[in-house]
Amino acid sequence: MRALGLVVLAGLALCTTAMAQQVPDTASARPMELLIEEAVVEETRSTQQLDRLSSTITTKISVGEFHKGACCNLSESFETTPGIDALQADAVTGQKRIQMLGLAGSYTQVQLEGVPYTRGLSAASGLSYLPGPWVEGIQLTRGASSVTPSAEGMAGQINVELFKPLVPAKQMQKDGFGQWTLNGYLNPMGRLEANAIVRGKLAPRWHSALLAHANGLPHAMRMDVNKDGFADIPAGRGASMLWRNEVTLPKGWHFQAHLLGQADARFGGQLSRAEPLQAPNVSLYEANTGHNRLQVWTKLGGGLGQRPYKSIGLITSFSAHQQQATYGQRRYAGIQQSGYINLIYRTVLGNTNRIILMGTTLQADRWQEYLDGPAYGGASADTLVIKHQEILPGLYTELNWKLTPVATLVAGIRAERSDRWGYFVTPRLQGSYRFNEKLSLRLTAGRGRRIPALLAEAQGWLVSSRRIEVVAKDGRRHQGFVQPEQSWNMGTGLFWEGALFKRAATITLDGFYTRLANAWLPDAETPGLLRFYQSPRPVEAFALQAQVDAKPIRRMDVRLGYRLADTRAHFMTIEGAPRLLLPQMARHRWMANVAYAFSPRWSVDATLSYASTKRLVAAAPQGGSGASPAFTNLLAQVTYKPSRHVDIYFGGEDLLGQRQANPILGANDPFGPGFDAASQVWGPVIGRMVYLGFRIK
Amino acid sequence: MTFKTLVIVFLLAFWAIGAQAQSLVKTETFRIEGNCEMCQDRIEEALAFQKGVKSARWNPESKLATVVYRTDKTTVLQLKQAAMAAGHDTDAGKAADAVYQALPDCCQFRTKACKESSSK
Repeated sequence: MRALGLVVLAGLALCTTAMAQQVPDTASARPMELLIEEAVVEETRSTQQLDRLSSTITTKISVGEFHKGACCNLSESFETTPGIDALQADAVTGQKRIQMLGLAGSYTQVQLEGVPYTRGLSAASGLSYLPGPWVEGIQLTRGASSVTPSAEGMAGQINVELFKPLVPAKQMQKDGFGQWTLNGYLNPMGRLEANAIVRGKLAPRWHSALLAHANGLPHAMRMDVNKDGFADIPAGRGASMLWRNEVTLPKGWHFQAHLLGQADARFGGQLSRAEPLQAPNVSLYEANTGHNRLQVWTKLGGGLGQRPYKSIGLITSFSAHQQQATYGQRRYAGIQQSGYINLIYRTVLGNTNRIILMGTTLQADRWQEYLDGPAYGGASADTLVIKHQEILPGLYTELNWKLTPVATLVAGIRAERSDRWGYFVTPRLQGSYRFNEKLSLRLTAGRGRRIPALLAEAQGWLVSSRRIEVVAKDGRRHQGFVQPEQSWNMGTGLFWEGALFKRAATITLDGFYTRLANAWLPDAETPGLLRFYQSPRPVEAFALQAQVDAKPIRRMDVRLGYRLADTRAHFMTIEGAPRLLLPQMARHRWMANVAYAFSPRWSVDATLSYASTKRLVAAAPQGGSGASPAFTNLLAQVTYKPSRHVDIYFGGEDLLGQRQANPILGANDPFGPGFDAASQVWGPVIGRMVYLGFRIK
Repeated sequence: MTFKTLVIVFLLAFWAIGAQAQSLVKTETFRIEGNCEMCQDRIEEALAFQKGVKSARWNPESKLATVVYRTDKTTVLQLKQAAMAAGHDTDAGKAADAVYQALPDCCQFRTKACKESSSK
């Protein structure tokens, strides 16, 4: 608690002292992107489109796309995005995890307007605590992203834009978003969500916005549809609040300060037990999780002198994060403090065809993870402690070179020196070439590095009686630091933008290869054992994707998508360490989304998605790998707008009703050795579900 | 009162209310300037969210809007003003220049004709 207070104080002190400088207005880390945002004023109707002016393989997802999912947090909002999979972490805690390019979401760098957001302990679960209705848009970069924020984007980058205090009049007119908005959501499972955004002017140059979120599911509403004794979704409550401030300073300088607080508690586990308890003092199995976060960040930026192409920006961010969980007799706790400073200078070399960014970053992290309970060491009831501490100063530069009107090259390099692991150099390269008005090609390549938070990223796996072992590369049982993971990523994409059915349409085709060295693997291939080790052989991930967006008739948007993900690793707990597909990953996924507006008031949206079979780890000692059935999911929603400012929506998820009957192994004896709520999960536990929601602007 | 009579009374009441509302519903056709599908979306949206409007259609070829509306809630003049506020000229007056100039290129009906493919 004291550490938390200190971080807040330090953050606030920085806010006030940094008052002398300023920030890019779309709040992006790259001032260059600011100019781009302003250049795009054309009214566009597509909710997903290629970022035409960037050289990275970036899809811009706008707010309309999130309305299709209707619920609720960001990790649940990617049903209509073929590039991202959202999977259930386990059958008890109700948490979802994303995957991109065939790799876990923790390999994707998540930023809030250019500021680091989920890292370390929150890398895997952080998106679950970001309310969807706060989000104005997302820039989804697959493959090598810019090197300016850090070296962490290994599979890609998700940059989230939230609703802003200061909105250009034109955009406000277009969105119809006024001074406040309210949103509510309810489903018969008892889940209730409410969001409010208020914005206004506090002083002539000071605009402010308050984004608030609350959700809840009462204990009495916990249900057990599949009759395994466990609640299908946990009860719980959560609240988040973000206070945003933007001050317009003289000479075009801007200053922003933000305060974010999140608190969340979930209560899941057994509701009843079919068989009488063997021992009278053994209680029901509880799976409870808690999450608290406080983050303060500021941005300052502006032009230098009279030259519009010279600008400087300073980003500072401090966060304190704490999470804990109880899974039966197993107890987990994690605490993290992080600080980040990024100073960016932008200028041109000769003329505006060569824009150069230079800067320096300082990242400081400290986290500890604790796991105890008899289930951890097996025989002894000791505590597993994993500590990480690192101070990482870095220098970077990125050149954006427009070689010809149709060819652009972006080359970036970052050099960092860790106080523990020494120097690390991250080169990144992106090139784009436009064959003609319609067709363009992009190539990206780059290196990446990150420190995993072992237990936090494997939370789902902890909901089991598996004995846990952490093994260092040299084979010794490892209690201290982990080695950084390193990656190389290469990707290429072909993009076509033209007309189909006499209306604007896009076709994209892309492919990626990622090679991870030192990858920390949670290996659950042997029943009763969960072993973490740093893979001595590389983990390789291939991903292919094709997407078509078209408007066959007026007021209708159709998207067809396919993606292939093939990620293989050597699993050491199986004899001979065979190279296998990662468990619970669908190799093929197909998706079709149709949105149709009958009139300005009535519209429907439906998504059909298909996921191929997934490999499942051995369920029994002699079993060997199994396979899940393929799975088809249908989502649909009807929206009615009684007025321009009100949306009422009604929809359903998993309408085909395909649901997994027995996701938990050993559900009738959760304290016994065969209990496992994670390894056999392949589909929805709840099944068909309807919901009702509204939005008022 | 038996259940049956209750149902009949309710049905009669709804019919009466419906019939009264019907008598106030009117269909009107008038000209609004515009070009393309994008204009069509904008015009129809502007009209649809006016008070009392049941349905609104606009044809890009004939430039004619067909609006079904309740006469006790709105008037043709108000509907035309709504189209003007969205940037489209009518016989009741022209749209304000600032609003008109903010329209996308393909909707600049005062100067250019629309190209089919530009309905981005």
